[in-house]
Amino acid sequence: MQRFMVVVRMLTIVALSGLGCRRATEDRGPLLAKGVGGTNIVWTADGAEVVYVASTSGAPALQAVRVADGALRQLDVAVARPDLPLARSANGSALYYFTDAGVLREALSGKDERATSPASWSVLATSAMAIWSPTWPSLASTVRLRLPRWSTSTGQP
Amino acid sequence: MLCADVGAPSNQPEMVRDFVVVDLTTGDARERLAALVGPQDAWFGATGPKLAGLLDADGTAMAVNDLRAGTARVVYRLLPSSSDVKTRGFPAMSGASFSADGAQLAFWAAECLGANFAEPEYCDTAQGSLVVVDLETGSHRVVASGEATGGGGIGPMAFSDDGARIAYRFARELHVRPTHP
Repeated sequence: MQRFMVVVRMLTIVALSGLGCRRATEDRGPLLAKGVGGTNIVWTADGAEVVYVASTSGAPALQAVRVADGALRQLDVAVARPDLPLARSANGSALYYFTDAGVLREALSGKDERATSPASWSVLATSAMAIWSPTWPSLASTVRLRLPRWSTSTGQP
Repeated sequence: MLCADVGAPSNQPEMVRDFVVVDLTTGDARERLAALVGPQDAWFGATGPKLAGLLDADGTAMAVNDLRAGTARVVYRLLPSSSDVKTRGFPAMSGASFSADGAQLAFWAAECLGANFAEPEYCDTAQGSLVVVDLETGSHRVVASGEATGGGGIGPMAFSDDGARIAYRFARELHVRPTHP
């Protein structure tokens, strides 16, 4: 009897799942890349590539995909932290991310900016949002911060 | 620099209600500004700092909040039909993002199409639409749409610097489309 009830319940679920439930309209647009993770994506300044944290089978890595033809390239060798955002400078000369070792790293030069300690992590996490004003004099050469989970003033090279 | 006050949990930016403009040359807090929306993105341009986020508790009105003027303008409102199947977290508008010049705003609008059979308080199938609003004319356009709950669901978006294209994530896949037809 118990087995009968289980079968009836399963058949009910199958029947209901196909009835009365609208399906989503699909118009996703041209596919550029798969295995895209991370909290945000950024364009390169010339609009030729989109940068993201790739999370396929291997370790999370900073990757760029060329919009014109979908060509992929790994931007830097370090393992990226997928749960923290990327930040690009306004003029495109710098692209910052955090490595899995907790280091703020500039991807285009492949240099660590600062080794962070647990204490500085707590400082970085004290605020939810920060953004440069348009009048900040060296904006062109600094990171334009749009960091939804933490605040930092370390963006200036 | 525009900084969020530290009162809200760091993992819930939409809970931030106060912002501070910090003078980086002196380190002084120059202005303290109150948010009228649950902030999803901020823009700081020549016309002053602005926020984009939900205006009301039921989450059906996306608004742009001019922090200095203390005003909020609704730029998009969900259709009443979006609440036909009301489940936890739906309908929703999320992931708002300004273009670099502040002239456009993009966000996900999602409505539940069918509740989960076993746990009806949760959504099983949802329609996600990537909406781009022209903040100068008020016109809007659905740039892409698809299932919003499966395979990782809808994800972050970003305008190209010139605002002509937008990249967005759908179920761990990256797509790019023009913002204008």
